[in-house]
Amino acid sequence: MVGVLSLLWLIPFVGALIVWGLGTSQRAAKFSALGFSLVEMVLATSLLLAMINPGWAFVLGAPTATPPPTGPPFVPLFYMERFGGWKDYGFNYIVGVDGLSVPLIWLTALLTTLAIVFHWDEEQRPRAFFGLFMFLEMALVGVFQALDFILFAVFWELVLLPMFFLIGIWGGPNRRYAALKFLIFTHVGFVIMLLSMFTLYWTASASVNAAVYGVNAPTLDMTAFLHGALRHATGSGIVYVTLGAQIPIFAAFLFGFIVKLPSVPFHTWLPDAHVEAPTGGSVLLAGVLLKMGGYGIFRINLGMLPDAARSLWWVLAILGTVSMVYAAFVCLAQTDLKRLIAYSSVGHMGFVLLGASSLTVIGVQGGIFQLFNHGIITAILFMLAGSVKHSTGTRDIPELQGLARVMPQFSLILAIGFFASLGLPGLNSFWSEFMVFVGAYGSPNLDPNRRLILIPLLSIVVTAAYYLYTMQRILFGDPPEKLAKSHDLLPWERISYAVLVALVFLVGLFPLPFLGMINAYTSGSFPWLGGL
Amino acid sequence: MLVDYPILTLIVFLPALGALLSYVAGSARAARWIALSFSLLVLALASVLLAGFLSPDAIALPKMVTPGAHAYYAVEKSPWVPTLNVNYFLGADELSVVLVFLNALLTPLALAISWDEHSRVPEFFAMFLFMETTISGVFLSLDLFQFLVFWEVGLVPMYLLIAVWGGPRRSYAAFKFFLYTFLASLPLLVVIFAFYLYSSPHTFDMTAIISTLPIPPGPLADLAFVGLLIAFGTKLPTWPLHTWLPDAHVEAPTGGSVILAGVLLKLGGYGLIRFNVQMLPTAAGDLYWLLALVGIISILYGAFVCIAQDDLKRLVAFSSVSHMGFVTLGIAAGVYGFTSGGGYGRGAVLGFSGAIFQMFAHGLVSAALFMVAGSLGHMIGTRNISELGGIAKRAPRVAIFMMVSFLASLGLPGLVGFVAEFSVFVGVYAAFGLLVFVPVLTVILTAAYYIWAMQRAIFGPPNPRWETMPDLRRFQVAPLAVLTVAFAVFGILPVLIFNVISAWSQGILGGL
Repeated sequence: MVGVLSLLWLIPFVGALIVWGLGTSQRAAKFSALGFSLVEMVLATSLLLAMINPGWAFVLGAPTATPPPTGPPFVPLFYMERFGGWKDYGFNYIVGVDGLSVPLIWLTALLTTLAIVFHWDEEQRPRAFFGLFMFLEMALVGVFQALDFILFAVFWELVLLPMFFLIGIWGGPNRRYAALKFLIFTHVGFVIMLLSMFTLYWTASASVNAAVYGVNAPTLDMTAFLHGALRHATGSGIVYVTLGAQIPIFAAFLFGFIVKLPSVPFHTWLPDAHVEAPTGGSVLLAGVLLKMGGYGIFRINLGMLPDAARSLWWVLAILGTVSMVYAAFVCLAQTDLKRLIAYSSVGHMGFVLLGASSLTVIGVQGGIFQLFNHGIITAILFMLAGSVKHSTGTRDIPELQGLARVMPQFSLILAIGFFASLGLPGLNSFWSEFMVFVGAYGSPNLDPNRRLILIPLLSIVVTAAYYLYTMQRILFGDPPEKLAKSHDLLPWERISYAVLVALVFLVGLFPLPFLGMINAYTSGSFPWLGGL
Repeated sequence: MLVDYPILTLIVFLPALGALLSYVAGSARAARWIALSFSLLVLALASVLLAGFLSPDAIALPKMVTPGAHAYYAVEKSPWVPTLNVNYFLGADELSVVLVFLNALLTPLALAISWDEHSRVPEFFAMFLFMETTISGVFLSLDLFQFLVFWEVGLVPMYLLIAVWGGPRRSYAAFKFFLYTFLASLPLLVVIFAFYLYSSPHTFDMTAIISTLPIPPGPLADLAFVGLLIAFGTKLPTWPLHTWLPDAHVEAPTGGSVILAGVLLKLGGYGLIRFNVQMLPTAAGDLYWLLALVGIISILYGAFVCIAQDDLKRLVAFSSVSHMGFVTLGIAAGVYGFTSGGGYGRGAVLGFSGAIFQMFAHGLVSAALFMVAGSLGHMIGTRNISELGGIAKRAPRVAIFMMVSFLASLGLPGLVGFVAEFSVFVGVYAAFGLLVFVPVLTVILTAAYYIWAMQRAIFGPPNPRWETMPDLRRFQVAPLAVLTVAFAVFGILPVLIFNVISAWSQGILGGL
């Protein structure tokens, strides 16, 4: 039987085939793509509402956690679907969601829809263009709900293909180089991750499987490791992967994830990819693709390898801090608006690493929430870079001036987006950044040297500086002659901005729906995390 | 009359509603009137609130008492994000009500003085109301997280006021203003983390933190004290963190300067009392000398620099640095005088209350000063004292109001500034003895630079350039007249609010 989660990736898959195969004109392609993405959006929203409050569940029933046969304690995973046709080889089709994946799935559905709307006037190979977006959505949703290593790996790799083509075909002048660099970097990261999966499969999975599911056979079932790690970390005395084995596995997974996230020093593919990618591609690349790295860190590094996380937390802390500080300073020197936003993403993803490194409930929650908030804000920022290029023909900051006069709507959105991104209180990302800092400051790990928190904190001042500096150069002053005839936002662009800006304010003022879900996930899956 | 409606929520959020309405109003005329009526409505509510403190028999405010006999009035509390223990938590006490009233009073006056603004009028007036919301929010927040939200969001409207409607170097000044205060709020952020971390159960509740004092005395508390001093000292501003202020004032539009000097600086003084004294009393007892030192240096330095200023707005800005020094010094005198046990407790209380009253007095006086300086620059294109001269004949209203506000600012007895400075001097004498001569002598310096500036600008041979200069118009006279009346009323009858302040100060110092 096909459940709701399978539908969540099947709908965009069918959509991709239909848009690609049946679409005969630009109109048909974009309308069918929009139709499928809206259906997906409805389904994802019902999933989100059901997770926020079980009483709000419509279409699908209230979420119920599926316990393993050996009983509690277990990691709560909802709407599980399990099909064991190939279980003799250790492979099962398993999908399931929780408070970590549902916000990201909803973000994927939302940003895909808005990216399609934003490209309403795309004329170059529209069938392939919109089809690839649907295909990308399928793969992304799949990554966030797959709970079997092979399934996870397949979806993970499938994400690369549409993005590779989106950059390589619809990209800027240097698109071939950027697409290839993107593919090579993330693919190498993936291959190293794959080694970890095999190691887990051959060395530990049989005993973990026996302890959790009572089947003494090697398995790629991620839930066995999730449940097993939880029992191991809370002292239930089950046989689990030893610390010595966890550390190399942790390191290899981490490598794959920080390439994707990306974190310094493996971030160099990102600015190139963004600069060349079409706007919708950038929106999904920064809005959702980067979140795969963060998702992996929470799901696998923390969720399955708690002992290694306890001894290697400092690696995450250093990577996060260096990313934040380095990216902020690099941003000061950028002249291409899109490059600037790309580097700012590196800095903001540093918060995720810092939050995870704290190994405290509040810090981990902040890191997860930051994934969602950054997705919303960075989508606005990359759309702005697309709008200004569309309207004025350039994204070069020194060439832009006085846009507040000629493009007032654009300017308002830019100011809101920049202030949201620099973490202004009352807007959404302040919550997550604040929680990350509270967690990192209060973390027992940091105990004798709490003042070290000033290093990452300083990066937010530099962040404020580069955003204000950029804003002043672009918006204020008198517009030069050649910008005088720039048009303001296009009607379909306004729709995308309106939705995202509304979310920035709504989530900023009422973060509880998301925080409550993330809190339930964190306390359910990581009862071993420290308090402050 | 019992106040059974959420008066504090109304005071904080009515201006925001007004900002939204005047932004979408469509016409400049509608935007002005909407903004003014909302600000007057808020003034009425703030007056009711103040009246609740002055005569509790007539107007009864709901009261909440926390351990340690701290009382908060008209408290509103509801959970915001329970998973973090963050609440929507508003409450007023004697310290905040004075400043909220000041804010509510100065906002309509700032709107009035800006009545002839013609560039982007709806946005301009909306900014002022938006700012009123954030400032009242800071004064009335009893939750650290919420405090931080209002504190930081308040930077945005002022930043935009300077950056969009400012003078020729507005970009630089706005940038400097934002970055200085943003950088200075980092230590505040860290100290808020520390309060959260050390309180048990973890809480952002300021009333609980004031009652339980979670950070134990010791090096950590001292460090927190210094961090907070940097955060609030930048806002105040105190020497050596003041350099953003003259730039911001010179470039800001007149109404912006009025709010900046009149209310925004008071956020710093409020923070020093609420956080440094109330939440870290032992550290305040240890480090009172640091407060006193920066206070005295600010007083002296501001006064000396004023002598050399030619731009009227710059002069007033530096005089603000000097006058805000009295706030820091008064706090130091209060804390030390009361805890050192020298038997001068009453004098110390007077010094502490003087510091609070000085915030109120300087709010009124500096508002008038910036109105005169700003309007003058607006009308004739220069604010340089050396270019003026003899304008008393051409523009008697400018001259009168300049004189009145200069005299009020130099502390003429009978006007509001005198009461504040005199009380601070009594407190300093009680605490530090003859050291009081340092600030007292500065008063002479202050008188000197004001009178000298007055002589050159207003009197003397008339400069032929100003043969046909215009005088203040009605919308400029009205707010200045209101302020002049306020100088006299609070100068002659300071007891109107001084009793409330000193009773509260007595309670706070007694709990140290």
